[in-house]
Amino acid sequence: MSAPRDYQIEGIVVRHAAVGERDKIVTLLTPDRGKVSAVAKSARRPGSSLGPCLETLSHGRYHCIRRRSTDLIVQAESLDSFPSLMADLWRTSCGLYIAELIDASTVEGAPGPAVFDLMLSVLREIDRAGCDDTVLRYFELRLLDTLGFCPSLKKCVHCGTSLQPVENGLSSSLGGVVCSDCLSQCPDARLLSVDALKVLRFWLGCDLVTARRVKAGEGLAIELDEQLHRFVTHVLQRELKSRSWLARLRTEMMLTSDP
Amino acid sequence: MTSTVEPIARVARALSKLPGIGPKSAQRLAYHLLNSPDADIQELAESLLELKSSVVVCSMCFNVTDSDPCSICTDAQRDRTSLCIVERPSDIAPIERTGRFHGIYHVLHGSLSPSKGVGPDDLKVRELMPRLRSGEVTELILATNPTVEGEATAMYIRQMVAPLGLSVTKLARGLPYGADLEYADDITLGQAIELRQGF
Repeated sequence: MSAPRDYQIEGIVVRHAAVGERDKIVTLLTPDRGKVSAVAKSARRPGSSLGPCLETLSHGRYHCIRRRSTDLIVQAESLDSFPSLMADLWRTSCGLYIAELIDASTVEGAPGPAVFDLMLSVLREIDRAGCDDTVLRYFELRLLDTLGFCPSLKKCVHCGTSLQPVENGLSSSLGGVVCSDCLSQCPDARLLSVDALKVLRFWLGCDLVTARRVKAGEGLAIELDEQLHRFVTHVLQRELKSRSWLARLRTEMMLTSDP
Repeated sequence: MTSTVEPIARVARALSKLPGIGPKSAQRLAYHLLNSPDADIQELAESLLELKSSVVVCSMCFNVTDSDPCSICTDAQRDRTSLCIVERPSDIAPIERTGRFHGIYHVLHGSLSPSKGVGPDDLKVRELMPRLRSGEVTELILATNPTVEGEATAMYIRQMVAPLGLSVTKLARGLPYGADLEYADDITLGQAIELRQGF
């Protein structure tokens, strides 16, 4: 029996682009089908009931019609509009970074309920309590974990010995921590402090609200940012464009907040 | 199927580069042009050439114009205390059609789009500050599109001009005229309720 012509799907918009005069092509992250692309006719027309549900980071339920080429979205219902996230430039920018990271790291048609749940929970947390370095780094680490690219944090990925509470290294090409003895044999490994390793291990075993209770100092935050950035870039094989925007915005916000 | 007659195929190829024009539409248009009177074709060709040669960007508001500064910037009747920021030159015409705004404009030529690598340096944002520092403008109207990118652009500009102490407003959000409440989306209806007016 052939699949029904229409279906309903829950999703979060991770990307959209204009098509023709009034249409839009939307990429949704869904729990059941992974990334799904669909066209929404007249969604850019003022007054379209579809339009507001098809903006990046919109979470909704979408009624689609299967077509030979790209499916068609014919109805949409908003489930979450993240009002506090959308009303703040920094939070919005963090949300867009998350959307770009998800879009770059997932493929169409591969179901990923864990990735969907992670994205939704992080967006809700940003909407509820704002966004800081911990939220972004936690998201990056948990996304790597969910996709099967999590850095190995228990044993040395080079010699297999248990890690000692000393300064080790993190190698993105080997996929995890290398012990202090093997550091010299892994040219791409960067020094990883004991505190950074503890935080990474802790984040892998807790939810975001708990993770936020750990207050990392500026030095530790920078170290975690650099280490995870190298890891994410290695996995994606490219830089995310919105990352440089976040860095710029952070600098400008620090300058304007100075007395 | 592409025409085997080279001049027709060439016109079709050129037309198919336009947004929303596929190869079939392009070929149909090419045949339509072939059957059009010579005067019409002449006028079309001349107007297309003129489009590129005579249209410039206004050095004050960055609107597209045939004279620099543009007719709005040089109009002595316009209210220079009110400046409306729009994303694209084409956004000015619908605002002008309303007949409700008599101030001046500033065209950004886009909106912030971090995931596409479009930042403030790619827009006419920096050029806005000298206009505002002159002290003539007292109200800034943010008429960016009601999209995530448009809102981010508006928030960025609001943050940038905050030290100047201007009155910053944003276009209202609500139900379109003639719409049916039953079919309104939750976000627009929610904003319409939140921003309801005395009546």
